[in-house]
Amino acid sequence: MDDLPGVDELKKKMTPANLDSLKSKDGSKLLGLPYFTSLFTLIYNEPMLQQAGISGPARSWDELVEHCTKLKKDRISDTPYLPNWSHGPSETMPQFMSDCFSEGAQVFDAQNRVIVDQEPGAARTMERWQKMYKAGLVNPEVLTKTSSTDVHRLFWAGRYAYHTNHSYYLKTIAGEPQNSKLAPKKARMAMYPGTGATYMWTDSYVVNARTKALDDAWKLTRFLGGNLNSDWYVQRQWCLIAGLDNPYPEMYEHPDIVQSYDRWVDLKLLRLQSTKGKVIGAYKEPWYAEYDTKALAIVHDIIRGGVTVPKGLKQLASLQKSLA
Amino acid sequence: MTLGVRLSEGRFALLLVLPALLAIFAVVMLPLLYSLWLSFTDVNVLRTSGPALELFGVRVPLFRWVGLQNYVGIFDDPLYWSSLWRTLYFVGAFVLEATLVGLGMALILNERFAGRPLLRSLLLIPWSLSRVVVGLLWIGILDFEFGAFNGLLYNLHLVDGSIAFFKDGFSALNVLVSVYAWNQAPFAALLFLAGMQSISVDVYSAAEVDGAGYWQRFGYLTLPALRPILFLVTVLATVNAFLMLDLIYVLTMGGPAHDTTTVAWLGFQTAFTFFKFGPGTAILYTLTALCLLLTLVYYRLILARFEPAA
Repeated sequence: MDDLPGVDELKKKMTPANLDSLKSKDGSKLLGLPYFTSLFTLIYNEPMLQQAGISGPARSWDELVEHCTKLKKDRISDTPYLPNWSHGPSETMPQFMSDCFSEGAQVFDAQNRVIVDQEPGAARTMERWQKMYKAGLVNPEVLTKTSSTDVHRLFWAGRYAYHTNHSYYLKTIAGEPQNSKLAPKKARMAMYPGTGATYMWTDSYVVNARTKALDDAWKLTRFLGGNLNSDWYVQRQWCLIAGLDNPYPEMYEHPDIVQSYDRWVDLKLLRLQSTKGKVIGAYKEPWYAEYDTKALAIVHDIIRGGVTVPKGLKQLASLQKSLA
Repeated sequence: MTLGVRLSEGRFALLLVLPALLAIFAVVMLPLLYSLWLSFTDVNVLRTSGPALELFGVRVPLFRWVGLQNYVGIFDDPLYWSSLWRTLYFVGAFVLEATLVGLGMALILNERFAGRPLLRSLLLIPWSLSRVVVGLLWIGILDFEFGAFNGLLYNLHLVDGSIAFFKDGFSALNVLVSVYAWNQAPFAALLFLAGMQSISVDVYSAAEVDGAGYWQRFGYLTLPALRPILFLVTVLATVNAFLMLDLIYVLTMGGPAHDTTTVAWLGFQTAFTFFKFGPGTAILYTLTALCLLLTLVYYRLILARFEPAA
């Protein structure tokens, strides 16, 4: 897309991490314009924490485990933590990557090879997950949910203290009283624990390089993923209607968007969290879909104690090697 | 018969059925042969290297004949074997459940009672629903947080919290069996009912005169007469259970881990998630072979030994 009119202006307006994720594997070409971006975030149930006498959300994973243990012990919540461990393509593995990043671990090296077996932070993540599952702090049904959407709806019931999921789900949790017991704004976002680093991705619109209607295709793509005639109409609507995060920071200066987000999230905190988002270069590898599906099963086995953490992490690395 | 050309009766008959044969060849045999051929090739549409054709600007990878390599590969894969044992459990449990429940429903609906015509009509509703709808319906019933069944039990003070029906793989697999049986048993009931209706009332009257009770009449009259229907029901249930995919897609996606992954789901994932059509079709052809084998077994068990000697 680099030669198309107006591309340079859009590139300048985009967050560097999002721009990077829209480029070809070698980073030389822009392949698409953004549809939306998404971050993994920590969401907490404020009234429940207050009921337990907990003054604020956890800042570290140890603290989060401590809070959940107390909530279960005090019989305030049966399963206080609701992680996105569901069984679909953008769920357990992004959750795994987020938690690894927040523990200071890398998941892939510069050549997109899986290196979690060499990262102590990845082992800490999985040990914590195993511990929380074994202690009954997590609802085991989450492992058979088929989408992030299904998982976030469980949080509506107000029976969980903490939830980790894509940022936009807070819009229904904290902003839709007709659906959620935690609206308006009884559920809040907190900075991701540990280093605060988290998983970020960019969904995109692409144009077939050989299209015979390039002008029209580019016009449509700019309308959807950019600012055709200097108007960010579609991008703005995604923010207003669905609460989708946006890769163009100037979107958050629009008064309608500021007002809309204010109904369900602390926008400054969300913007701060987005600076800690890490995009995944390995998504551009042809083996990634198969790796993600098969890795998810290994991670579920680790969680349930079917395999030890070191052995499971080695299996993840070997799996990727076998597919690459 | 004269149409300018003189045709024998046999040839004329062939000419009449030819369009149907051609249609069957086009919509049944051709895809079957094509998919069989695919199972002996290395087709991965995500492959970025190797021989390919450029068609209208789209790169189409050329299929490479690999012989039995795909079959050897899947038989070497522990996931295939674990999926196969799980599939056999699923098929066995489903065939048993659907057949027994179907037979039970047919026995009830074969009796005379008020509201029988209405009940017979309602019987078909679960079977007529799309399986995606069936899956969503049962999520609504069994869900841990919002499920109607959990709500009912809680309101009747029968449970303290909620029951997690999908709490582990085995439990989730059994839920799949039961939900699928709920969907399919009415069709079995319909077939059994049709069979029962064709049994002469006189036979039952004579048995009653001879002092046969309900279970004796069922064991010595009804069941033997239903043998061809039983064969049909078990064959259909077996084939349907081997190939069942949509409920897994809606309810568990094969998880947790691979705990509800059946061979059909594995084949679907390999072909349509990983875009490996060669190994994917090879996996699914092993199911075809199993279905044929089991049909033969059923034939031997249910029909062949009861056929009158020539």
